[in-house]
Amino acid sequence: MSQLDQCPSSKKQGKPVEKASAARNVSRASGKAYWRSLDDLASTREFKDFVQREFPAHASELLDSTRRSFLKIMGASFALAGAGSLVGCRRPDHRLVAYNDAPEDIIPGKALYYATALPVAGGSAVGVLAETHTGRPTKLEGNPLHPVSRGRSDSRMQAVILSLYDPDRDPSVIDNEFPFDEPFAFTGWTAFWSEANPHFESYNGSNGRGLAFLVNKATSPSRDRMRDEIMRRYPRAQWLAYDPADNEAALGATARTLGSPHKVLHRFDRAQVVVSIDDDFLGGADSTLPDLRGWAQARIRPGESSETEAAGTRMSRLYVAEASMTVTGGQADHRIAHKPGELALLTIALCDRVLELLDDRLVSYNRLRVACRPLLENASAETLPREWIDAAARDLIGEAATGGATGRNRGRSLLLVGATMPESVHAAVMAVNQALGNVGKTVEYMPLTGDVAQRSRASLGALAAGLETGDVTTLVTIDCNPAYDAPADLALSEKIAGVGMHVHLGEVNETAVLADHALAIAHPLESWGDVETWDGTYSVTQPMIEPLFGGKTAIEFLAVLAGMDEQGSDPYEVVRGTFRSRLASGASGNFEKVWRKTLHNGVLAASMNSVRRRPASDVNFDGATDAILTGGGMIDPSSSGIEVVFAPCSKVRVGAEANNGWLQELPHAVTKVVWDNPMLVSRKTAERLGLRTSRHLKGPQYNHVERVTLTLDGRTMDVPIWVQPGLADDVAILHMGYGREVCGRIGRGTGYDANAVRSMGAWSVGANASIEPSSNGGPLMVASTQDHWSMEGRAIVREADLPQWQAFGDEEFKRKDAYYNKVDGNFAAKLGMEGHTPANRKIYADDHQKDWGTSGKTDLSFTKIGEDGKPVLTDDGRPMAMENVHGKRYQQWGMTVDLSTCAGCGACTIACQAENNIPIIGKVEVAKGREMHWMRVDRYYSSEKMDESAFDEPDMTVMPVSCVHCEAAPCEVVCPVNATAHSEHGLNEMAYNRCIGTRYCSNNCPYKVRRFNWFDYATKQILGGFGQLAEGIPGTPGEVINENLIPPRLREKKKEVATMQYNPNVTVRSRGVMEKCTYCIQRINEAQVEVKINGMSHIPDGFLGVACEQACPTGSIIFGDIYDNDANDGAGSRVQQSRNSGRAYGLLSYLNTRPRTSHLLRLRNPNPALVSDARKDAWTHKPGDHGGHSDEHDGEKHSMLDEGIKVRLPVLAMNGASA
Amino acid sequence: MTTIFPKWVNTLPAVTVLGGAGTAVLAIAGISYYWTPSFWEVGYKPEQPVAFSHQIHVGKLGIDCRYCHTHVEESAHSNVPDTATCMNCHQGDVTSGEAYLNVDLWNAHKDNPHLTKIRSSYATDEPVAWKRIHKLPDYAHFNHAVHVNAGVSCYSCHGRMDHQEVAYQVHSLSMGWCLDCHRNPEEHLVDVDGVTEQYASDPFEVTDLRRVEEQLASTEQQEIGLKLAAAKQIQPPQHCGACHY
Repeated sequence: MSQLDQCPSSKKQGKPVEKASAARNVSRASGKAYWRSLDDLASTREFKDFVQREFPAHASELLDSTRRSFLKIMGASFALAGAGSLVGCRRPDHRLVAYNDAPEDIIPGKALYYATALPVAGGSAVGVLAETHTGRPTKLEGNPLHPVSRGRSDSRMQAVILSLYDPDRDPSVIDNEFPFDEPFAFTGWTAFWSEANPHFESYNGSNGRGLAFLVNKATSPSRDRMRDEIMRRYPRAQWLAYDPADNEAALGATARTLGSPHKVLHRFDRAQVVVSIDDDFLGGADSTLPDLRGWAQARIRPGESSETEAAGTRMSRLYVAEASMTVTGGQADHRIAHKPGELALLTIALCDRVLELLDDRLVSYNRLRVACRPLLENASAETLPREWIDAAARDLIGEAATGGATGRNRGRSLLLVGATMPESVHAAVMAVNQALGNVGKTVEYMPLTGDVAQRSRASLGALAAGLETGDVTTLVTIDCNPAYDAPADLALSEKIAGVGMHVHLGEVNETAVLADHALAIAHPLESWGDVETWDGTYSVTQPMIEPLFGGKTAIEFLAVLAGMDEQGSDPYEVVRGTFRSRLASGASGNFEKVWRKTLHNGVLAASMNSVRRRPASDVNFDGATDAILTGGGMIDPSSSGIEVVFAPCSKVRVGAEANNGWLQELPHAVTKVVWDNPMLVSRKTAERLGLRTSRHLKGPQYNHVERVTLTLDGRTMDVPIWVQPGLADDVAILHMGYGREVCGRIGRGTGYDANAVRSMGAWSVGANASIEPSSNGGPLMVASTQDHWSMEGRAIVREADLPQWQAFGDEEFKRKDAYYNKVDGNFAAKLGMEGHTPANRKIYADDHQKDWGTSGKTDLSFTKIGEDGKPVLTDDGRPMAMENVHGKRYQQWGMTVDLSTCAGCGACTIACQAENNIPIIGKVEVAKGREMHWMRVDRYYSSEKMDESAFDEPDMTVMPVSCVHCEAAPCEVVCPVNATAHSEHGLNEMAYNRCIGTRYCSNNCPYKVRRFNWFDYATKQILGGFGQLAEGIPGTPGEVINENLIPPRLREKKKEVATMQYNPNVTVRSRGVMEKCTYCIQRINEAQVEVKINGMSHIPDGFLGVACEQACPTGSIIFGDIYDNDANDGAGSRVQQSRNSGRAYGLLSYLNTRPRTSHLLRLRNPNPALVSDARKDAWTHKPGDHGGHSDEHDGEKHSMLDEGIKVRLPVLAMNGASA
Repeated sequence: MTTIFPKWVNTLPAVTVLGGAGTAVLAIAGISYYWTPSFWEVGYKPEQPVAFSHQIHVGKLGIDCRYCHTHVEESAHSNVPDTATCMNCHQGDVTSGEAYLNVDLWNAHKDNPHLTKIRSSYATDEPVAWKRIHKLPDYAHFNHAVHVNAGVSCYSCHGRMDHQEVAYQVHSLSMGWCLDCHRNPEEHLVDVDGVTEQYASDPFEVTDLRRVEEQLASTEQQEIGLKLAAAKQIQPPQHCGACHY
C-alpha cells in the first residue's frame, strides 16, 4: 500500500488527516502543530520506523551489497589489514623542524590573525580575519572593522577555507577520472607565455580586433585598472563580464528610472515594515550577510522607554509573497505563495494600492496607476488576494485599517522584489519606495560602473554572436565557466570549442577542458589583490600562504597581457599602484603609513562611508510608467503551464563552489536536502501530474523519489522531484549549481544541471513548461536530513505572538522550581510542558557527580551553597557559582539561542565544522542518518489548523540544536567507561580516547545531539559522483562498482594538503568514537590560559566567542558565563541576561536535565487585520491559561502527559529499573 | 621391553619448559616493546642530527632556557630554536676569525663538524630536522605557558637538563604522572617572580634547575607550595576536558 493513502492528499479527504495528526503525538503547546516532513505529518510507517530507532535501520551495516561484492571488498580489507599490522606499532622518529630564521611575530602554538577580504560572487566583498598557525590558514572569521561582515560570517565565507586546500585544484590528482581521453593538465606558465606572447602580439596591428575577454563579475579596482590597460593596448577587443545568477531585471529597472544601472541595497535595520516579493534576501542573494544582520536588528529591539523587557520590545513586520518556500518566507509574519507570473501582478496591484492610499490626485502617481490598470483588469480574485494586498499596503504607509495615525511608516518601510520579477515590476517598486519616502533611508541605490554594470545576457549574447560569425578569434576566459553556466540556447560550449585560440584562467571546470591553454588561478587567500563593496569600501586581500598549486591571479595575468614587465606585473606592485592612485593625497611618506594601516585593519578607513550615494529624489516615475506600459518580461497570467524558477542555490550558488564538501553536505535551509538539487514542486501539482509523492519508493534506508522529465521550450532534463510544503502550485523550483561534469571529485555528478533547460528567454523564470514521469529509469535517491534526529513531536519549538508577549511577557510563575531555576517559571515555560507536569527531580540525581570544591554533595553542584545548605544569592536574587578551595569562582558556561532572529542560514553549522575538524561523510552515509554535524538546524513546519492548509500554507520555524550540556546529563550515567563526564565548569565533556563506542550515551540523549564515527571519515577521501548511484549497485547486471558504496575505511586516504585545514587544537576523531558539541572547549581552555598568564581571575564576558556564536550573522547565539553576576557593571553577563528573559526555555526541561543552552522562543508580529479571531483571542490570555477553548485543553494536557511518561520510560529502563 | 616412546621424548619436558619460558619471555618483551605507549618511554635518547649538548650550554655556560626556547612563557609549545639563534654565537668569518664568541673559543670550534652543519644549514636555508623526544598523543593537550607561569619548574618534567649531554626523556608522560601533580600541586610549585617573598626570601626562577631540585627535595616544600598555591589560587583542573578535547 503506498503512502499516498495515508497522506493528507489521499482519496479520503478531510477526516483522515485529523486522525493521523491525533495519532502522532503532535505537540500543540503553543496552540500549533509542528511537523518536519510530509511523512511526519501523515505519520507514515516509514517515518515511525525511522524515528523509533536511535540510528536508522542498517545504520551499522557495512554496506548494501550482494554477498559476492561483500566478499570482494572484505578480501581487500583483510589484505590491507595484514599489510597494516606489519608496519607501525613502534615509535616512528618524529622530527621537529624549526625555522631557519624565525619570522617575527610567529609563535609556534599560537594563532596569528590577518585581516584580509574575500570577493563575493557577483560583486562586492566581505572582510575576514584569517586564523593562521605557523603560516597555515585554518579558519576564517568576519572582520569586526569591515562594514559588510562586522565580525560575522555566512556559510559560504566559512567554507572558503576548505576550497583553499582542495586537492582537486591540482588536475593531476583527478586526471584519470575525467571523462576524456586526453589527460588534462594546466599549462605551465613559462611554456604558456612563450607561445602566447607572439600570439597576442599579432593582435597589435589590428588593435585587438578579434580578441574577446569573458570574465566573472567582480569589484576589484586593480582588475579594473588592468582591464583599462588592456583596452588601451587593444582598443577593439571585447571585454565582457557576466554573472550566471545576475539580477537582470533590477539592472534594467534602475537604468530606466535612474538613468544608469544601480545596485539596490536594503537597510533592513531601519525598516519597520518589509514586504518582500519573491526576494530571498535572507537565504540566497549576494548581500545576505548585511541583510541578515540588519533584519535581525530590526526584529527584536529593546524599546527606548520601557521598564520591562517585554513591554519595551519593538519588532519589524515581514510580509512575503513568493513562489518557492525560502528562508525569508520562513521568517515571514504573513506569507502567501503564488507563481511568479501572478506575483508580478500582485506586486503591481500592491503598488497601485499604495499609490492610491498615498495620494490619488498626484499626476505622476496617477499616470503610473493608469499604466497598471490594464494589467489588473483581467486578474482573478484568487491571483490578487485583496485583503492581503490592502493590509500590506496600509502597513507600508503606516495607516491602521481602523483609523489611527497615518503615514508613520513612511521612510521606515520597504518594498522589495526578487530577480524572478520582470523589469517593469522592479521599476514600479522603485517608484513606490520613492513615493513612500524610503529612498535613502531603507533603500539605497549604488551606481555601478565597469564590469558589474554590464548586462550578463548581453555579454553572453555578444560573445555567442562573435563566435558564431568568426569575429572572435581569440577568447580569454577568466574565473568563469560559460561552458557550464551559460543558458542552453546559446550552445556556448560548442562555439567555444571551435574558436581559434582559447585561454582559460581559472579552476578545473567545463570551460577549462575546452581551452587550448588552461592556466591555474590563485585562490584569494594565496594572492595579493583588492576588492570593493557596493558602497565603495576598499580592502586589500593579502596572501596567507604561497599558491599551493602554482596559480596566478587575474591581476597578474592581465598585467602581463597588457604588456607590463615582470616587476610591473607583480600583483603586489599592481595593487599598491591602484592603492596609490586611490589616495587623495599622494604623499609617499603618508602612503606607506596608510597602506600598512589598511593591511592591518583590512579596510581603507577613508573609503568607508564615502558612499557615492544617489540623491534620494531621483527615481523617475515616467521611466517606471514606461516600463510598465511596455510590459517588459511579464508572463501572461492566463498561461496555465508550469513556471520554472531558476534559483541560485543557497549553498553552492551557481556551481563555482560545487567542489566544496562542507557546502554540499550542509542541509539546505528549507528542504534539508544534501548533495543534491531535486526539483521542488507542490503537493497539488505533483498529484495533478500523477506523480507519486512518497519518499520511500525503494528500500531500505535510502530515500528514493520520483524521476520526472521536465520540458521547457523543447529542452528536456531528467530530475527527481521533491514535494515541498508551502510551494505555489504549478511552479517548479530548480536550484542552479549542480550537475557539474568537469569538476573535482566532490562536486562531479552531484545533482542535476538546471542550465540544460535554461535559455536567454528563461533567464530566471521559464513559462509553459511541462513535467512528465520519466521513461529513463526508476526513482532517484535524494538524501535529506529533515527527519533525522527527530524528537518525535514534543514541544521543543515554542512561539508566541508579539501582542501576547507584550501583555504577559514579564510575568513570572508563582511556582517555585525544584532547582531554584528561574528560567522555568517564565512566559516561555507557560507555553510548554512545565506548566502541566510536576518536576520529576529524582531521575537524574547527582549521585554520580563529584564532590566539587566546597559546595558539598548536593543537587546544586554548580551553585555556591551556604552554611544552611541553601544557595547563596546576590542582593537581587541571582545565584552564585560554586568556588574552588581558594574561594575562586568556577566559571559556568552556558549559551542562549534566539529563535526570533535565527533564520536558519547554516553559518553556525559550517563554522562549527571548520573549527572542530568535523568530517563530511557523503550522500549515502547521510541517507543512513550518520551525518556528523555537531550543530544541526532543525526546520519545522507548523499550522494553526490540521487540515489541507497544513501542507499548503505552513509556517516555518527553525531551531539550531547542538549539545545543550545538561547539568544532570543522561548520557553520563550510562557510559560504562566514564568517557563522558562533567567538569566543574558545567561542561559535559567527551574524552575521545576513553570512548569504546558502545553508543549508550547517544541512546540515552533526549536531544539526539551525539554523533558517532561509524568509519574513519576524517582521514578518507569522500567522493561526489552520486548521479550513477542507481546503476552502481553492485551485483546488478553491467555492474559498476560505485565508490560511494565503499565504506570510507577502504577508501583512498585524504591528500595531505586537505588535512592542512585541520584545527591543530582539536583532536581528529577516528572510527568508533562518539563526539558532540564541546562548547568549543579548546577556545575556553585557550582563554583560560591567557587569563591565568596575565594574572586575571576570570575570563571576562565577551573575551571568548565560540565558533557558532562568532559566525552567526544575526547574533542569535550568545555564549558566556551564566553566573558572571558582576559583568557589564553588575547587570550580569550577556548570556545571563538573555537566560533571564521571559522568552528563555530549556529544551525538554521538564525532564530536569537542566540544559545549559537555553532557547528563546520565537515571536511573530502579525498584522491584526490578517489574523483569525481565535488567534487574536489568545493575545488577551496568559499563555497556558486556555480560557476560551477548554475543550481542546483536556486533549492537549493528556497527550502531553502521555509524552512525558513515554520519555521517562526508556530512561528508567536504562538505569536498571525495568519497566 | 620395547619402548613406546623414542628416547628423544626424554628431552620433551625440558624443551617444553625452556621453550615455554622462551616464548613467554619473547611475548612479554614483544608486548612491552610494541604496546607500551611511546610517550611513556623514560630514557628515550635519540641521536640528534647535531650533537647539541645541554650540559655545556646550560650547565657550563649557564644560558637560561628561555634564551633558546623563547616562547615557553607565552605559548603551548616550547619552541625549538631557529638556526639563527645558534648563529647569534656561532656565526663567524672563518678566514678572519672574527666572531661573537671569544676568539680562542671560536678558533677551537671553527672546524667542529656539527657546527659546520649548523652553519651550512643557515647558509642554505635548509632547516635542521631535530628528533622529537617528548611526544604526547594527539588527544592530550599540554600547555607549557600555563605551567611555567604557575610556577612549575622546567626541572619537574625535564629533570636536570644541565647534566644532560644528550637530551632524553626523564619522566614517563603517562596520565597518572600528570595527575600526581595536578592532585598535589604543592609538591612542585616554586616561586616564579618573588611575589610572596616572606615564604621564599630568596626567590628564584623556574629555570634555576639546581636550586629548584634542592628546594623540592627539602622538607619545607610542602608548606611553601601550599602558600604559593593559595596566593595564586592554584587548583589544577582534573576534569577530562582540561587536557582531552
